[in-house]
Amino acid sequence: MKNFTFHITEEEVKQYAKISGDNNPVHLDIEVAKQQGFSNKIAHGMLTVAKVLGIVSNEILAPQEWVYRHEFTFTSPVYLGDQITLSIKQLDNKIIVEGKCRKRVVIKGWLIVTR
Amino acid sequence: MKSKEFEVIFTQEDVRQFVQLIGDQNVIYQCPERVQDDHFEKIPLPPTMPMIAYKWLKIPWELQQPIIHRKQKSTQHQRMYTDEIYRAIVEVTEPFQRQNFTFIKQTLYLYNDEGQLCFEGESDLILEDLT
Repeated sequence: MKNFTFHITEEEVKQYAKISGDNNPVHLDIEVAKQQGFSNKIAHGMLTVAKVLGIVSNEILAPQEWVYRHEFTFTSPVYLGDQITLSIKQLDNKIIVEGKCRKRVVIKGWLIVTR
Repeated sequence: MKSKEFEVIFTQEDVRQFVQLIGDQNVIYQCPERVQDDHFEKIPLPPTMPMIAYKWLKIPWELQQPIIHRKQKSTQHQRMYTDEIYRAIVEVTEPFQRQNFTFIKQTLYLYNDEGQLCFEGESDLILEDLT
């Protein structure tokens, strides 16, 4: 089991909205986020997954290896500025990931690696 | 419900911006020379990047706020590359209502120009309504 931490910043969320075209105001407008029951703006689920897979790419995979399949469940919101602690367990070509933040699991899932 | 087909092309600049944002330092995304050394045809796409194709699509339905992304399943059936033409289709399946919310599966399919499925990204979403 390996552990890593990362943050999701407001600037990254703005940039992901620009790159992906996902301008859901719950990510960009604190008033809308509060109206929807959140205490702050929340990160895009796909930004969180992309950053998780970026860490897997940097820390676990060889350059020629790539993620063929992945499946993630978003179990709690990730707020802007949150620090996520990842636990990563590798079983041959399957990698199991769980991310915690404020003592709660926020993302969990797995990915399959191939060459 | 299914969208019509759209052509999408991911550029080297799209990949550069994407990997810079997510912090992926794998050189195959950044260095064309390394790409050839590693026997890739062109610069490959990071695994979650095909999902940005949504920004180029005009989908004939609207997801009403609030929209919550519950789960994501993606498969890159074939390695995808920059500067290739892909055909994109989005489909909504299995809609159902619970309390005041609508639950759907929205899937993005990307095919190469030979009609082979390259990417399948299934998003489980909870929303106010689907119109």
